[in-house]
This record gives sequence, C-alpha cells and structure tokens, in this order.
Amino acid sequence: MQVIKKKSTLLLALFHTSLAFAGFSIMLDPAGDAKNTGRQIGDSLERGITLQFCESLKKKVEELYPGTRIILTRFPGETIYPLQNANFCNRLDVDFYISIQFFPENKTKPNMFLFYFSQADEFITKIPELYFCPYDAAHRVNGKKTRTYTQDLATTLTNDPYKKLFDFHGPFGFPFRPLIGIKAPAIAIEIGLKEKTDWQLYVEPIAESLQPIVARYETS
Amino acid sequence: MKPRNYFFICIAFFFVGIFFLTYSQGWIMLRFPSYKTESENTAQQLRTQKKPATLFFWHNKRWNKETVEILQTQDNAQTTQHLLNSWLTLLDEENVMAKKVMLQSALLSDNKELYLSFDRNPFNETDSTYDKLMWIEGLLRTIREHSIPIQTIRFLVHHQPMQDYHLDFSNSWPLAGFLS
Repeated sequence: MQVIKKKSTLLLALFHTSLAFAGFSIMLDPAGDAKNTGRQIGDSLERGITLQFCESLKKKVEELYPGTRIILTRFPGETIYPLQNANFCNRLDVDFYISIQFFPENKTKPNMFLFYFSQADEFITKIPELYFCPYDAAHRVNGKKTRTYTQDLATTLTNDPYKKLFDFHGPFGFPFRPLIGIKAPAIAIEIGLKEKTDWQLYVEPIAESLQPIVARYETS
Repeated sequence: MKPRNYFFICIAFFFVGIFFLTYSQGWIMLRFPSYKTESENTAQQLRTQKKPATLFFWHNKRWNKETVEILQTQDNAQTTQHLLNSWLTLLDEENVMAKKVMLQSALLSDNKELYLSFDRNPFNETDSTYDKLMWIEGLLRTIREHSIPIQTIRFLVHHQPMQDYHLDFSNSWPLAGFLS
C-alpha cells in the first residue's frame, strides 16, 4: 500500500512537472469506472463508450492543436472514488476539465447538452488569493472563465455544419455532481446515442469546438 | 340537633376535606367537556378546503400544465404534500415516469427550507441528466405557482439525502431553480 502511494505521488509529480512545460492542458473524464457501469446503450455500457470516445478525442485534439496536453482521468478497470478526479485535477492544475457522458436516445435527431457546475451563487465574484474554500464552492475560483468557455463551445456547436447532426442545448448551470470540487474551468458534455457506435460522429465536432478556447489561452 | 346528626355532618365534611386536599395536591384531576376544543376542530375543518392548483411538467420537449383540485389547509407543509402527491399522480398517469413515486412527508423548517421525502428515487438509470433536471424544475415551478412561502428545498428518499450519479443533492436547491 505504501509503495503504491509513493508511486502515485511520484507519478503526480512527474505529470505536474511535464504540465508546467506543456501548453494548454485538458483533463478528459470518461463517465463510469470499474464499479459504476453507467447507462446501458444498446448492448454496451456507458463506461466503455465514454472511454473509447475520450481516447479518440485525445488523439484528434493532439493532432489539431499541437502542444496541447490531454490527460484521461482513468484507465480501463480502474475504480474512481468520490472526489478523486477533483483532487487529481486540482493538484495537476490543468487548464480545462471536460466530463463526457452518454445516454440512450430514441429520438430521430440526437441531443447534445452542455453543463457546468453552479449553485446559483455566481454573484460572489471577488475571491481573495488565499482563503479556505469548501469543496462544493471550488467552481467559483474560475466561474467566469468557465462561463466564457461554455459560450465559446456553444457558439461553435450551434453552427451550420453541426446543426444537421444534432440538436444542441445549453449551457446549463446546476449542481452537476461529476464536476463538484473542481477548481479549473470545468464543463460536461452529455450526448444522446441511438447506436453504440454513434460516438464516432461527435469526436470531430467537439475537437473543433475547442479551437476558440485554445486560441484564447494562447493569446493570453 | 341530635348528637347523631353532628356525627354525620363531621363525616361528610371529612370526606369533602379529603376531596379538596387531593384536588389541590393534584392527586386527582377533573376534566370537564370543553366547548373550545370542539369549536377549534370545526374551525380547522372549515379552513381545509378544495382549491384549484396548476401542475407543471416537462414532457416531449415542452412544458405541459394541468389544473386539478387539491386540499388546501393552513399548514403549508401539508398543503405542499397534497400538491406534490397530485403532481406525482399526474406524472404517473401521463407516463412521464417509469415508476410510481409518492411523497412520504413534507416538512417546513423555520428558515423557509422545505424537506421533501420520497418513497423511492424518482430517476431511472437510463434517464439523461437534462430529463432529471427538468423533472425537478417542473416540481419547483409547481410549488412556485402555488405561492408557498419557501426559499429552498432539500430532496430526500426515505428521510436520507437523495443519491444520484449526476445531480448533487447534498445541498438544498433554490426554489427559483437553475433555468432562469
């Protein structure tokens, strides 16, 4: 146990060092884990589809935006404990966090939803540099940036090439549990799938929708 | 007066004295039929009356509404329970929910927080997060429409915080909802 703990700390330190030299860093969170299978889509489970999607999205984003670093929150067979992703993300200090969710869709045209964490407390904007922050208020640190990023994504995903592919809804802010405790700008994308292989259709739109966000990071 | 009568008078006053002593010490209690209790019950019944209420729910990508009659009392928590059980029955009739859910109890705290305890988790495993969110927004809108003086709502199942993979119920939800 002690050895595992030391190894994971070393791994985290190595990740942190490499991220410091890298450009824009994105953490991808595929829904589900070894214990939580997620929703059933056809004869497959959400956890498998989200992982396939995230691995494919990682390749696409690294190809489209060289210098961008993508980290996945889990590997196949790994169990994620409550707040583990938030802890991982906050310690690595990534620039953007995306949670990917899928659900079975029976409508003719699939739906795509964009969420961010909110507790209707966005009016509190002035945050001191050093203070104790409850875990469920961590989203307020980068609340403004999160909303800017969601607007960037929404603008791209509602554009003409994707209008025929899916109906886009959002962004919606509410207490979305997978994003709780995350300090970095964090969003969740939930997509309806009619067939289990339909996830391939969404890799390119989502990868391309990140363009204004990466550009915004580079100019800043 | 005959000496025999003095004896009976003494015995009678002895027992009267015993009675007043036990009454004053609280060893015996007398409860007289009260007019006030009866009148209060009648007034309570008069205050409970049927009133029309509008119920809102999200279905087929749009808001739907229906007006039903509910029992309205002076007790806001009880009225909310009647209102939400009518709402849940309507959702069941309209096949919005895959399973029948009922509200076990509703309690209102002093700081205008409403505690709603359901008999089971109202969400299905395959529901999208948006569907779950809109279910809650329908419930909040129904309560808002009824002008019940509350500010926040805490969702419970069997008197324990509701558990869901996508929605966080560890904190109370504002009555205004998150869509405005």
